[in-house]
Amino acid sequence: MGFYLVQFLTGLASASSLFLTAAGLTLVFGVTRIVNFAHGTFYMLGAYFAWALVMALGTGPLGYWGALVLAALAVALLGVLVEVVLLRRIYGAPEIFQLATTFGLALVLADGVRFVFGPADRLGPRPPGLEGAVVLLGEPIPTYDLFLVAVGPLVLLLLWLLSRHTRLGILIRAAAEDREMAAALGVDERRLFTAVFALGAFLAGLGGALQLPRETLHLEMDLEVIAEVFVVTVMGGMGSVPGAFLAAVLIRELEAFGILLLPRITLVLAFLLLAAVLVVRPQGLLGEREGEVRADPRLLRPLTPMTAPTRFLVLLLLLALALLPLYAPPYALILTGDIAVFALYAASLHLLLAPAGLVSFGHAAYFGLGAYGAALAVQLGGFATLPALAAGLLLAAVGALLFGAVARRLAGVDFAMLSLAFAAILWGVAVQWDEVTGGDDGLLGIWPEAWLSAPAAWYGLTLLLVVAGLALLRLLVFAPFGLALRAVRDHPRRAATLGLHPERQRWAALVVAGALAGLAGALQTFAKGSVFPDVLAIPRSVEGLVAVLLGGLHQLGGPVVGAAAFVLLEDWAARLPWWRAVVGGTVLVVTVLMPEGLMGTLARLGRPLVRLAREGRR
Amino acid sequence: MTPLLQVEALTRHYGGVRAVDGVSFTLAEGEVRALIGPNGAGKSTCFALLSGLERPDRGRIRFAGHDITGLSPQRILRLGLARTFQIPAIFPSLDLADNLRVALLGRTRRTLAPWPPARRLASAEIDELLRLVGLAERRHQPAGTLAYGDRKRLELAMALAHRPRLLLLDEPTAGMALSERFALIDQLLAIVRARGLTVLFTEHDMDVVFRIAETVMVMDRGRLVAVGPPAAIRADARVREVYLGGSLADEASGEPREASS
Repeated sequence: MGFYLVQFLTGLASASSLFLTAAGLTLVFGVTRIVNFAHGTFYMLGAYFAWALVMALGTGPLGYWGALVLAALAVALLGVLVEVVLLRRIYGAPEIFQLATTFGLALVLADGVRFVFGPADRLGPRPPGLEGAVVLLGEPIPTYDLFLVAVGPLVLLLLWLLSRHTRLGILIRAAAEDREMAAALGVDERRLFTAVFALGAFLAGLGGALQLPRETLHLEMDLEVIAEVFVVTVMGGMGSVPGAFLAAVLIRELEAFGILLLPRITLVLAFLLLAAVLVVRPQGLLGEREGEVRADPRLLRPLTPMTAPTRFLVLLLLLALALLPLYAPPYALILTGDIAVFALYAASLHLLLAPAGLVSFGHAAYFGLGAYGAALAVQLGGFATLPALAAGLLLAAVGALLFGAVARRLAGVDFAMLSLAFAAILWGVAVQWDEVTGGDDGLLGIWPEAWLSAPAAWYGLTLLLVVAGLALLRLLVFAPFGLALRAVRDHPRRAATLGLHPERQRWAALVVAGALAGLAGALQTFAKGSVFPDVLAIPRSVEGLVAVLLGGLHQLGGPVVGAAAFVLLEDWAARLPWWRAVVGGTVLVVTVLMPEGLMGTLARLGRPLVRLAREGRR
Repeated sequence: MTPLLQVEALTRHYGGVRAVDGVSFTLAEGEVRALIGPNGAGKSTCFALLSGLERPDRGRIRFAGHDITGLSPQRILRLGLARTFQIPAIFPSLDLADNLRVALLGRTRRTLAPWPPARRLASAEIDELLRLVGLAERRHQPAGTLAYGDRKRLELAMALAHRPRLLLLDEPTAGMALSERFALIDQLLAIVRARGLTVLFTEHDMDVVFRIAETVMVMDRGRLVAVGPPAAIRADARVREVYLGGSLADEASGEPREASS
């Protein structure tokens, strides 16, 4: 009996810090409608700042507790800086750019932490006065955990009092209810947004700081927590602080007891719980039902088929690529193969982002399923190379089918957050289930069979499959399938009253995109001869997104151009110690300064030339 | 002859508000009927219930011999009930021809087909529909660039693409210039007569209502308060009351309803 009580209290204790962090995210979203991907970084910063301050101020009661609060305040200050310098530029931008911008910020800040604190793990000291343990019904539980059990409800209460009895709270509620109305009533939106963002950052910082005695600090804390925070906020209902509390407690209790039954798949349990909640209440436990989620009108651009000169150029390029083995060194073949694989991955993501209007932040899920599917088909099933590629594609398609069953009713930020969480959970499975996946050591020695093992042969097969995949995507976009998909994105209700099935259409697109991303992943496994969990990790998802935005969201050729530019950039930056900052910085530059991407910018610069040429002919 | 549409005690609440409260009426095949009433009377909710976008809390809807209560919008459409929206609902990124092509894909259930390229499908029928509403020259223009009135025309063509038996039109002429209104109404009447369609429409412009409706129904706060031929409705004291004492003669001058409420 005592064991279960302690298990229950431990669950509540670990729910507190998760709740604080999620509450910050959900408050900021309620007012600014921005989902801040850098929120996990604020949590990590809170923990690292607290550690540094405790080291500086000493472990006396005043030094220790003072350090925790000061750390959270420092994070809040950083939040103000971020809001004023960066976020103010993107409040009016389409969702996908907002999400990508904060993602870029998270990468830059993560390298900042690495630069200041170094890669070594840190362990925080015990809090003065709460070092020991209490025995409950014969079982010991750390006193600090009991303290944390109280912190969650206390913060919930304080936030409730804040929202009912202070001017800031009333403004927050007014703005969350109806932003335009609040602005029309003379609420100073700039100051309100800054204040809310500071409060959100403070809560994340405090959430991180409170974990100091419980958790080893490491540089992946930001991404680990953000996936969990997304699950909590979506489950609780976007914008609902009590919902975040309820969801945090539910998830932590599920983990606390699930670990007794199924120690390896606690992450999967959390996701299944979320899926069950969303089936019953798509708006989350305590969320408000939103009206129909519509794509940003600025993103609804016509797609045009290739013009004859472009088609000619593309054919010429394909010819040059096909003949590459005749004149290029082996290293160029490998790099071009990498670009081709990445282009297929980015183009499959583009199908979701542009024609389907679904912001996917977890596309690595399908890339990774394809990569592991192919590797496992070889290692466990003894498959030959080509059937193994097919197995990878199939596994990814099945993954997309399952995810779609949960996510097809969602759109907008909910879909983005859930897709990220789905990929994060698969990553967790790949790391934890080491009998099958090899865990962090990965699966090694997966090479193509003899007739494909020459660099030129593998390059040829890669090019063939990638070009076929890209051609299929282009075909589909202009086929009835793609036309219906774009219609569903433009106006789901209109589409439904014309006999289309919006959910089914999006679901089908998800399966197609997943299958082709899976093929890309399977190809990469054989190209590298191995597969590691990082094929499923968040950075892989971001890379796809960066490639699409870098190339240009509004052209079908965008992801291919973006993939080439990105692989070359990374090939160069990988030699730098700060590649994350380089990649993140690129995202910031592209989303804030160059939202049309390379292709769009090129098209804009090219337009006067085309006009000149036409006039010259006359 | 059994009526084409039979509505019995239709009710829909939103929280404590009864948006539609025990509405019953029937509609005979070939009839053109107006549904009028002040803003918030429940007209749009009524349309949402009839077209399957919302589910009624109580009541029955029978259409063309089928019970369609609570069916999906897609099923209801297939039985021959098509609609337009008050704010014209079109696909802004697609050109006019593709907007209609989407409607035809919905009819032929080919929305997952990977082949042939969509632009090879049904061009003749699309041109025919665009000619019908006077938009044939603009077939390659993105729909997002159309003026408001033309969006209404395009939407009408999209609804007609399904060859419906009953058309629900939510303010077909709202936001149009006066001259444009009557041009569209005359076009509409010609199509309706040629195809033997049944029409139920809402409208704020009383000129339009009295010009084309054979019967007028008046809604107020979720209830039907009067049904009858236009002349009788014009004279009905309860109807005058619904319109806040403003006489329907004022309405007939083309003043928009919102101005006095």
